[in-house]
Amino acid sequence: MRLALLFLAGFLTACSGPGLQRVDADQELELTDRWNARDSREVSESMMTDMLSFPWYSEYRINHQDDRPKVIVQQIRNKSHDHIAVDTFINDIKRSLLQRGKIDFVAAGAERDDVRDEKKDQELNASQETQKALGQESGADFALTGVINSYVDQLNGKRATYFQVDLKLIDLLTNREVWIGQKKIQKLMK
Amino acid sequence: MVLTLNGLSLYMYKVFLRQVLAIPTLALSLVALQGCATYGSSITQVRTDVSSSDFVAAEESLEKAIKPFGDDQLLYFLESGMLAHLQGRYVDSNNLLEQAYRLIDPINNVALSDRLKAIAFSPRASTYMGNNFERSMVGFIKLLNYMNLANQAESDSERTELLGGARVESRRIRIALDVSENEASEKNGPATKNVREMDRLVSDMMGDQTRVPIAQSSVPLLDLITSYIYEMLDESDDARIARARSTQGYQQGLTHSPQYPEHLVSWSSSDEDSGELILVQLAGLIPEQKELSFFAGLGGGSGLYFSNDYDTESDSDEGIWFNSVLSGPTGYQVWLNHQSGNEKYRGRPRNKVYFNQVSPGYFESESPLLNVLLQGFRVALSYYPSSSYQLDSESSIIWHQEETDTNLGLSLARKVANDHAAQAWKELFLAFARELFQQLLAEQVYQVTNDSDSQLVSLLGVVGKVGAFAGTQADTRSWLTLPREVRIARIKLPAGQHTLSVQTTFRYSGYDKRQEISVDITPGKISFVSLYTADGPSLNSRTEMTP
Repeated sequence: MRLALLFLAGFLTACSGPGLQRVDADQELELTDRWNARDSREVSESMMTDMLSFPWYSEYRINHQDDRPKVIVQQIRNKSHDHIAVDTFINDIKRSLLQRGKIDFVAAGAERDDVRDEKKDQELNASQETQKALGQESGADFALTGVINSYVDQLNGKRATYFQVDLKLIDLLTNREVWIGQKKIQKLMK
Repeated sequence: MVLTLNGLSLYMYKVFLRQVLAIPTLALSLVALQGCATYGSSITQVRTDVSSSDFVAAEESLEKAIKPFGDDQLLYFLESGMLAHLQGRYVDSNNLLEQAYRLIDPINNVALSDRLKAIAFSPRASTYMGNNFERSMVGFIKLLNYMNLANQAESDSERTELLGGARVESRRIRIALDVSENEASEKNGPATKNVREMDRLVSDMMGDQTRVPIAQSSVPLLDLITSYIYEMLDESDDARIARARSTQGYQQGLTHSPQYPEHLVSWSSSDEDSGELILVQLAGLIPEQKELSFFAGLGGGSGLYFSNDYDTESDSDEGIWFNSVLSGPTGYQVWLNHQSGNEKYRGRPRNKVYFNQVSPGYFESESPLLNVLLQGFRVALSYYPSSSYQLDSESSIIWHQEETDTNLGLSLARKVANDHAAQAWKELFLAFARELFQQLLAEQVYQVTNDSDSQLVSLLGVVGKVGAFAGTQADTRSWLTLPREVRIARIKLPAGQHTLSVQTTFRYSGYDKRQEISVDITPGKISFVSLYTADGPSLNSRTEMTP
């Protein structure tokens, strides 16, 4: 008889419809164990705080009349199992540092090519007093590179997902690695 | 709801069951009977269209056959994602398959209503959840999409980004394959009291059902393709690791390649005047699952038995599966032996198998459970026909005066059939438990409604009992537009535009096909192209062929 009631309960359960709940736009929602906007922001803030705490930063300011170091973000490779929007992560890194006013960034990659194309176009089409000349770019002092990796363990209906972000800062003049940072995120899904 | 019912008097309880339970029992019967068509039969036209290389028509047929919602939602995204790939709509294909990837996530909890539907009606009436093989294949088709898109990229940065997408998919494939292996050692997770009781009961009758054989997780060809992705991204350490894993797989004989692919696993040798081409060829269509059913009952002094009506002496497909699966947890090895053609270890054909775990004395006398078991009932299982799933096609690439065999391949048909065989014992356990539950339910409702003064209520009880018997069916759903096999070639070509011919012969049907592809070779770079070769109009007879 208990089995019969279980069966009936199934019928009744199946009748309930989907529900909708409004939530605050600032509230963090995590429905899966995938990499999300919160991970991107928290990792970037934590790692940039760590990066600025290393000796290279104060040494540079002392040696360059308190000038801010210029950093170029080179490749941050996504070697994880998740399609991570690396551009968003890079923007979070830049935003975290620019907010503190301690570092200047110079454009890299396709953005830099677009800017150079724009300058070439200005040479032909913009008035002389508003033209931005080629060859006046700020050279970067340091290059930031890194890799995002992940590991997944799954058994008995539970899944542990680890994301590990490794970043390093390289002195472009000397090739010295002046900072190496690592941040891990663990998520348990069941 | 249950708590409220517990407060009712026995009389009210019976009245409630007469009035209310008889109707859902009838509904059970109707739903079970309605869903008798197999999934394969519902998309036969789609497969016929794919076999004729008419992918647009296949897409139209699919839209008519299944919908992007409901129980077959996952299958819709899998099939339509594959059809988009075959038409070269790689971005669309990725979007569709990404939706499938999310739905197929094994960690997703199945809704309670779905679990009950699967137990009370039939697995065919529940939401299709997919399996790890299909999850790995989602990654594989998406990987091909990214590789094709990278080949069409207009800048180096775009190409790198798209190859990065392919790398993500290669990681997902590896995870899905590793999960398959872990599942073999999984213990049962938390379950409701009723489910635990049913587990214990069936375990007592059939023995330990948790000993699932380990399906082979290594797929060297996928590791090889992964190594190519790393190579194209100039990540030589990762390329070397993937290549070593692939080589190890071949050396352990995990595939049935006619020769060790030395030329495929050697490092790139392109120079300033030449580049390389990697060709991945998908061919044919994966076999579909069939359904077999047999009788289960309790013998007078012999315990639980299963018996079938199949001709086991003449090696019928059903008979071979019955003998493999019912050999117990070791049935997987029997199946593999049959696949390898080793008749010596095929095992003795049997029409009746006994599980001498319990005798009728184990059960309470005259209980509904004993009644049901003594009367017996049918149990349905899905199975793959026993044809050989060795590589069927042979192909070669012809350009100018030269010719190269694509002699390295992977039989997805073999992989999917072997994986299914590895899980068959577990499926048998579940199918038996499900049928036992349905028969118990029908028996109990029949006994209650049989006492009713109302002819209608009595009739509903009888119909429910007959329906529960006649509605026995297995879940034969699977991703059916996947190719039967994958072949790969890597050739060095002079820089520039080339038109290559790919000549393919399907061994069993004798069907020949010649396809032309245009490639643009960049000096010092690896280019990529994938193509699909349909196996012609003989689809319906494909699964019945033997070597």
